[in-house]
Amino acid sequence: MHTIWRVVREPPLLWRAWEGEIVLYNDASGDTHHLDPLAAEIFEILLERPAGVEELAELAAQALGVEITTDMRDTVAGIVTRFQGHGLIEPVQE
Amino acid sequence: MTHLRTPIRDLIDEIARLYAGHPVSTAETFADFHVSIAPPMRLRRWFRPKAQFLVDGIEPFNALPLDQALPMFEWGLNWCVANYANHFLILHAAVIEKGGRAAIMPGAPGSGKSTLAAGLAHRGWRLLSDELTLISLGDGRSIFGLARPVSLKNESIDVMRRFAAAATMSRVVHDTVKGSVALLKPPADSIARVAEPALPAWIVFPKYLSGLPALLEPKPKAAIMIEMAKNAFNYSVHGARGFAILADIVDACACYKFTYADLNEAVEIFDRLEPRH
Repeated sequence: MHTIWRVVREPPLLWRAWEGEIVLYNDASGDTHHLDPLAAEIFEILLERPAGVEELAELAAQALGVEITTDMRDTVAGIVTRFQGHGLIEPVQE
Repeated sequence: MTHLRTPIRDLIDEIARLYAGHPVSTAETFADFHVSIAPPMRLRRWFRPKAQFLVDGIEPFNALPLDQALPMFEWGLNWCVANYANHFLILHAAVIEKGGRAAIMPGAPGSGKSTLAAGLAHRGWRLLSDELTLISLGDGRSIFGLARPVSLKNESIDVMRRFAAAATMSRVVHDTVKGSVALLKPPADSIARVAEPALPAWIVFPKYLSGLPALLEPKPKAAIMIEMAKNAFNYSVHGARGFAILADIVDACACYKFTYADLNEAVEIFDRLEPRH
């Protein structure tokens, strides 16, 4: 099934962007995360609107000015899995 | 304010020398910490004399040989501040000031932050602390220090003897868990201005590297933020507020990594630092 993801809303995440990277604080877990430029791009896309892995990979590739490849799709899927594991995103309820 | 009770004459004499200039009260008034350093009440005290650190009746770590009472006092006070002063966000970092602007210098043990802080404090910078940076939760910006003695380890002891020959230093205590340790009294100006806060302007991660010229290089802010969070004793206690304070400080500061071998070169470079705002 094609899952659509969004950034968790409660408690709201705190983040700060510097030079294309993001540091993010999750008050639910107390954890602080360092997002590299690709993860930061995906996070920023999800802040704007919910999206699935395929769309995230396309939008991130566009934003970073790189070709989309299978490797990149896998990397994005891994980032989404990591985000979910850390409680940063949640599936959108249809 | 710390209330200390000890029968150890050598410790009393060393504290009197190293803390001269700090306000002293002999009255039984309010104190943040009630500390006792004394031989433990056990039979073996007669065979291998030890000293036991107690704060408000709690023994945070095991007794140490009696001749380590002075470094134990300093380590114990650090423990007290790091664990109880939660009205501050507390970083494991040295901090120095010039012109009202603070340079925060986080670093692991052995990174050279204490030596660097001590050296700069003896060349025109004000020492707030070689170990604990206290950030006010009130405005989230003002940084306070305690102007306590600098803990020098191993080779740093002779380095500072040469660099600040007139400075007051304790006797050297050998064979501690950190090697040989001596405590260096801060300059009088640092002690006199201990209550004066400073605003953050620079974050510098120092690293002593023998035989290389001093080098100050920009360090990415996201990496700095992560390191600052790791170096905060009570970041998790303050949660979202702690994150916001640290992020604001990283925003406000110029961020660097700094390698050095020679204190004179280090002073030259620090004296050229310009605040961002």
